[in-house]
Amino acid sequence: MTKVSRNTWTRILQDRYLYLLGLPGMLYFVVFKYAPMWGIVISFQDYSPYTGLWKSEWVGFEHFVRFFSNPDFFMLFRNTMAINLLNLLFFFPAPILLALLLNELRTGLFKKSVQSIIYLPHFLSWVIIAGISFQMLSQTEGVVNKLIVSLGYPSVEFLTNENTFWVLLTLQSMWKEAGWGTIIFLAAMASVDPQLYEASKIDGAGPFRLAWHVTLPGIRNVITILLILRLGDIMDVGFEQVYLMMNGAVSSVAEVFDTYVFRVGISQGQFSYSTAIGLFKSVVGLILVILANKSAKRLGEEGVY
Amino acid sequence: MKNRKFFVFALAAILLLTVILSACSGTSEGGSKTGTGEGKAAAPTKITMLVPYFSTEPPTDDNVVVVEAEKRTNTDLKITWSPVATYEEKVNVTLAGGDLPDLITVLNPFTPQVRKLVQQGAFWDLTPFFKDYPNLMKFPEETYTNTKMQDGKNYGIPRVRPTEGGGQFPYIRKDWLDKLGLPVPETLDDLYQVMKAFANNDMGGNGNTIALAGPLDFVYNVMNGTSGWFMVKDGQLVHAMLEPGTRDALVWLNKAYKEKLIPQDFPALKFITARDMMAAGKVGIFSDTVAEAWRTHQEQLKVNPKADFLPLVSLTGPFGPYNFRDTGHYGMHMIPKSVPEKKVRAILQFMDYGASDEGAELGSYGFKGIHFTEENGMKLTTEQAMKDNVSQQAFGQLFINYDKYMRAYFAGMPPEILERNKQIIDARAEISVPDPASGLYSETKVTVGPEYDKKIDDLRTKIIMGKAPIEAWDTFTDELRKDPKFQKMIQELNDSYQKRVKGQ
Repeated sequence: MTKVSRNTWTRILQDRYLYLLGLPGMLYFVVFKYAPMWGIVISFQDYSPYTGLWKSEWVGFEHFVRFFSNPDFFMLFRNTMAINLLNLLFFFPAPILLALLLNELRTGLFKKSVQSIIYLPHFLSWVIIAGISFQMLSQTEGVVNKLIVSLGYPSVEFLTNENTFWVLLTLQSMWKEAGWGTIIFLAAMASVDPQLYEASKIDGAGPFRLAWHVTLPGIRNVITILLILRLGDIMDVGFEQVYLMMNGAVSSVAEVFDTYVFRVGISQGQFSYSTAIGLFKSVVGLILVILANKSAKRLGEEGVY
Repeated sequence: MKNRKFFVFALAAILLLTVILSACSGTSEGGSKTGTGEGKAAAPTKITMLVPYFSTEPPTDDNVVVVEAEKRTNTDLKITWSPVATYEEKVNVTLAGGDLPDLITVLNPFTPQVRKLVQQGAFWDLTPFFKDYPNLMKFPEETYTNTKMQDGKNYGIPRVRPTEGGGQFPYIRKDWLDKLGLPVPETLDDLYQVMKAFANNDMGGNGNTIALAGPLDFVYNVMNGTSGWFMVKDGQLVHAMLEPGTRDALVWLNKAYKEKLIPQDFPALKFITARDMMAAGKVGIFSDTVAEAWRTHQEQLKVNPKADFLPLVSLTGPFGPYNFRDTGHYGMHMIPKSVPEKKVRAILQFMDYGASDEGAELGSYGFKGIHFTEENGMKLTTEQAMKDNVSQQAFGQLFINYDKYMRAYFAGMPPEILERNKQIIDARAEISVPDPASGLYSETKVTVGPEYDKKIDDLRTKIIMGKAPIEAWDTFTDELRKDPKFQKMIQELNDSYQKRVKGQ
């Protein structure tokens, strides 16, 4: 034991300048990431900004009990999970497929321009995308509906239909982020050994065989890592997107944890309650990440740690 | 080799130093002393403030009005101006931070945050002070009553506003009415007939005239004879959503929806989009304030010189003629307990000057001859006012007096419209109905209120759109009547109301 620690110290002493260089970064994490974590204690308090962290009354699990016994808890849970599972099922593979298609393109200019165009929506804020969606799909003003009506069909309620709201959200996410998501997969594909392609080609593999047996296995570890990270966010739904697209007609399928926290917690000044919900989300996310990581390792993948 | 080592060390040291320095710089500013030496009458009183601005740019410290106000009141103002769009968050953060300015403007004094701080004694009770300040005493009684906290005391100087002309109430295309030979609607039934006439005759052209757009709350209000979600019945405060008037309003709106008199996707239609449609001449009736009616009117005049947008005086429902009566305030200026009494007096003196005619003129209009000219009693602002950032939206947020007709006026309005608006406001004052629950306190409402509000609102939307039958409303309200939490909330609000009625 002492030997190990002495070794460690010698090594630290040896690389002291490197550690010194790393110090600002470490300080950053301590000051801005680890220290604020103590803030979660307010989820066990009846926190008031005026009395502060030290003097606020302790209430134990009261906020958690209130949250779980809320009749809307199930609805919030269902909506959050449904939106995320749809995302996982359709939105997550979308960039991989796109990247596979782009990977087949060898000519520079066409590939570059396609890439630029599909990256573009990523830089638009959700406010703009919600605005565009409205301009396109609204029944009173929307271009799409005007077209449908002019063709003699009744107008379609895209924005106020409970049954299609989740689909609408998923399609929006795909439109916005699928292109940007290809970057990491394209980078991974670039590192696949070209010899493998050549060997397969000699064995008579066509483009589909190549994609299935060479490219995809080649980027498998990247896919796994991204999937694990994605699972960690399963309780988060992009607040802005849902908040902007929500309206009275669809709110029973649109209300998720994040919008609930904003409406009931933050705007009512109930910081403790908000923090309790946030903590619950984080714990679920952490458990999922750990489980996914374990199963990935069991399947022979690398995992995130 | 040695050189390189030195370089790495130097770099690391510099980086570290930067971190330390940037961490320090945050604290050095906040430590500056507030307050001035006592007894020296000549020295200007230093007052720090947090105030919202509605103009595009905040007034700077050397703004002519700020400098003049300092000179006239012998003060040294340190004002933090914060844009109104994010003002509420700014206040929340400031309150949470604990380092409060001498005067903090709160736009909604009844948020749980502010209430809690008041309960904990964080602000001065100004009730006993007001009587010494004649200009502040000129504010209407209603303004003071409606800014009282749950203990019946005033913890701030009200930002006075007129009671009439502020609510979102229908204004109508008078030129369309004239074209169709219809009178101005007086009841909800009249209004419905007008809506049908507008739609059937396609007054907006293009075959998709929308008869009524914008906020629909007025329908519930007229049907219940109250403003907002609460009403007084036999001296008791009751929830208006459980009353038959609300059900009637839902039936009315559902019928209008089915006949395509209101936008088919109204829950998704943003207020601003609907307003633009009104301005573009596609909509016949829209709900907004008297002054805002002129804004859309003005836009439509550019393409159609005959357009006339008339704000309605009232609509008659089962409880008689109705229009919305405002609370007479838009928040208040609060003084933290950390400010010594002597300074509280100085701040009140300063605000009292702002409430005088002279002070208010300076605050909103600047200097006569430079920033505005006067023509038949109307103040016309000059370009210099724009350049110097002199307006009601800037320093006028701080210095303001009580003007009954404030909401009749909007920049660029011709005198005949102003005159008509003044008459409308006078006529409304006779019949207008306030929100009885404004400023009332219920502990239960803080925790469960927003959830009920949302459920009620969602179901209303579904019923109007025909996605749920009206019977669903009956079942829902029956449940609410039996819901102990919901009943407790109403009970607490009623207690709070009774307290206020008895003048405690």
